[in-house]
Amino acid sequence: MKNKNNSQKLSFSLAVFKGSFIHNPALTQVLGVCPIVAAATTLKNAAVLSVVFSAAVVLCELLSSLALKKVARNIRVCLYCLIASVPTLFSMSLIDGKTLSSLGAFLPLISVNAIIVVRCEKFAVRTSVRNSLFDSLACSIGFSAVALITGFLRELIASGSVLSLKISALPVFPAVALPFGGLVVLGFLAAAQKAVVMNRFESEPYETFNFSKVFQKAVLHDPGLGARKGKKGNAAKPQSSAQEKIRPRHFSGGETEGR
Amino acid sequence: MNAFVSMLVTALYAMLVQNLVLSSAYGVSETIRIARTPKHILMYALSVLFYCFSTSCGCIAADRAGLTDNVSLPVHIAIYTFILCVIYLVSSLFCILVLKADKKYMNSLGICAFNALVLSVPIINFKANHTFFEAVGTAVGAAGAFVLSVLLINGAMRFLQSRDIPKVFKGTPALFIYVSLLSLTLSCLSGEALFV
Repeated sequence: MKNKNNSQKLSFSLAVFKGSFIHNPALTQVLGVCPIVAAATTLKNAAVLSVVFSAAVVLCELLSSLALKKVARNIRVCLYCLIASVPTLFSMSLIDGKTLSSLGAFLPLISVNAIIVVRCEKFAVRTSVRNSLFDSLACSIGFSAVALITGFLRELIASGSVLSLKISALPVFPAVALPFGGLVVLGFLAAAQKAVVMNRFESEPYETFNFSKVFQKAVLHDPGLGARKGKKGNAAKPQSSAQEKIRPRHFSGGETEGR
Repeated sequence: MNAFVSMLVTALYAMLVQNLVLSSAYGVSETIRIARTPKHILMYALSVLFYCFSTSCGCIAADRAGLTDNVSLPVHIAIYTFILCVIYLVSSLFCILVLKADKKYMNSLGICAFNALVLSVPIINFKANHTFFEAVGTAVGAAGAFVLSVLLINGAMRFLQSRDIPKVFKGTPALFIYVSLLSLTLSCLSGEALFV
């Protein structure tokens, strides 16, 4: 899946598994979480978002791989947005008014979703149509899975129902329908995904959001590290336990945008 | 004077009461990603402010000129998207030809222009039937909300790898939980019913 391997042929199952689960765009790279957090408040909304997003990302990646390789980057970015807006805006005329109003502005905003721009720019325009198709399907499955699980859990917790069928035994917590609830659910999903990847797929480097620049800042503020760097074999101890705590012991993760 | 006051009130509302990034989740992923490079925050903030402001003004002008009269909502939003694309292309050309901007800056310009926060501003203006000055206020408030969110997220990012956090929650999961707490805090300012 990395850029240097873009010319290699990917098997469908491997590409989809890696792209949708191990390198899930929403959970590991914090890409395109805006519609999940704000609009995936029910299972129905999440399903609509998933279908529209999948159509947009598949169309955009295929067209990027087919026709946009020679186009200048600045124009290409505009074209991603315009191409993705076609299925997005077309779907608005098909969806009933109630669902459309509950999705608010987040349905048309899928056309500027970060996943579409990043995957097209970092992957689709540098590889074959076949690989682009696999990647777009993997992204769609990964996004849809996260959106559907989030929508299901939030509907269940916020209103005690699933697909508008009331389950009265459950206590309700309406605040989960706010963006706050979506972010909490995403946090726990990301932790679960990370636990599975770390325990079951140890050979796979866990790709997480890149904190390296923040680490550099923290390291620069640590006077103990400068002494350690300057005098090999005569390492100075950290100034305090608090500074030791905030210093990263090991950073596991690649460049977020450099997949 | 009234116009200035309404602009100021709208900006403060969009930034603090209904923080467009943390309370409404517009462009939250871009904000989180930009929060890891605080040294470029001024450049990102000015770029986001420029795109929010120019898109907002362009869309208001299109509405006043009658370009969006008697069109369906999808076509209406398509026109807004097209205006954003035109503004991005013109600004890119200006940066390349006049400012001689380097490739790194040009790459980040796309992130600033094509995110949910920028495109949401004209949609909010349209739905709330804002006047020109209120639209400007929303644009300024959106940029302010972006800066506030980046600073709040960046302030705690270095602690998200602390040893006190369980191993599986370190990194992205802890980041999500932290941003959710910020979102909850700002949602309380908007008067949302949380526990009823």
